[in-house]
Amino acid sequence: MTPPAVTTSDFGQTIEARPAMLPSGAHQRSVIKVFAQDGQGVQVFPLWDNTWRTGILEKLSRLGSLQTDWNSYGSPPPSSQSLRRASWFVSSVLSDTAPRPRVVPVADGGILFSWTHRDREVEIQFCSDSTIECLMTSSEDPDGTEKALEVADLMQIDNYFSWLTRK
Amino acid sequence: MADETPVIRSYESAPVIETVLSIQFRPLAKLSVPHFGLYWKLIREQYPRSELKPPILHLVEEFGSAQTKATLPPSWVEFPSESLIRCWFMEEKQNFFLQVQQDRFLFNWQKINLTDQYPRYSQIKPIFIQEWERFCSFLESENLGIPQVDQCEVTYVNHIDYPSDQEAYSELKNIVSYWSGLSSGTFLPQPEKVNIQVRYAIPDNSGRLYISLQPVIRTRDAKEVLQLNVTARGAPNSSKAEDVFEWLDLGRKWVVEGFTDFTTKQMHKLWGRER
Repeated sequence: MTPPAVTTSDFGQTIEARPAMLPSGAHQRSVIKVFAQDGQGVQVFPLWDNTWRTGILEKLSRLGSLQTDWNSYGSPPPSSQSLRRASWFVSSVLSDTAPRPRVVPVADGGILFSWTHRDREVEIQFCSDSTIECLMTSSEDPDGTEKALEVADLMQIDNYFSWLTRK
Repeated sequence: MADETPVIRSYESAPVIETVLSIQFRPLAKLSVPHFGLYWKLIREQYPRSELKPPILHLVEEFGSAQTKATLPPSWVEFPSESLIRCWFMEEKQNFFLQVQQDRFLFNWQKINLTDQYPRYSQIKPIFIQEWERFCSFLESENLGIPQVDQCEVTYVNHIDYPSDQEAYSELKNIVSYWSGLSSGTFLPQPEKVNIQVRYAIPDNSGRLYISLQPVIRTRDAKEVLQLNVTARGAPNSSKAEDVFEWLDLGRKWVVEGFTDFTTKQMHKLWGRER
């Protein structure tokens, strides 16, 4: 329930405290989290609210149109598996409050997401053969730690962001 | 039950990517989590996959105040609660699936592969009738109550391939017959995106038709398309199967005829309108 406004009057001035405004659609999303709006099975992401996730998904859509030799080194375009996983990751795992990744195609048909903070970097690659790889590097460990991820590991993405920002 | 599907418009290659037939009833308080499992045992041979989803709101078309009423459970409902669960029971190929929650029973067909052909309402309806009868028999055998149907719903989801460049929406009038794309002056540029929502009353307070058009990214292939949803919702005359399926026929008629009126003849030609 929305708390009531608090009003104080002092020296002829009226100051009102009101609940903070939610980002556009935030209330709607909180309802959707518990209740679906329809019984549709085909998953889509609406391109209406202009958030960074919308921008990334539009970029992924454009990457799907790349042709072989897109980088003039004869590389294949991003595979349908890498596009599917990457778009699911953006639309269903990441939230608008998560840090925005840099997203680029890689030469073997995969898609790379990277986040950098100070001297630390996290890279998650959706490979063309549908495997997922993660690389974490820092100034203390420039070669980094590399590991294969399962889809379920992506649900713990907040742990990677915590590592990225840890002092 | 004889198939008395009325002859209405049809398309050889309609852009339909999903159809949803839904029967909504007053919540069956005794239908709880263990019963979802018992029901699955009954249908598991045809529907071997399952997924858990959040439930769909209980929606009722009301007339007079001209509102759609959504009923939320009381705020004190806590998880785990049967009213907060919807189960999907899917075919191996996942084209067809059933959805069950405490106050709804749904049957979906979805296009998974590019080569999947929309199986037509005349083929889907008999399967849905059979599944509804099996569900009702299950409820009866488990003494869970008889569904008091309050709404039926038909939804067709269409995906229309559309270029995503900046100038693309100047051509929207070639798809949507309602959209002129004209402005009174010269100040506004072409729209960057267009989102259309229209609601129609079905005569005799039989229900409403909702049409929405919005740009979306389809998650499975990261492709930007225009999603045109057409939904008819309303109350059948009674909870009897013949009344329920008579309303679904009406809803389907409104969905298909509404889709035809809303889109241009140019597109009908492209989609191979048959009549």
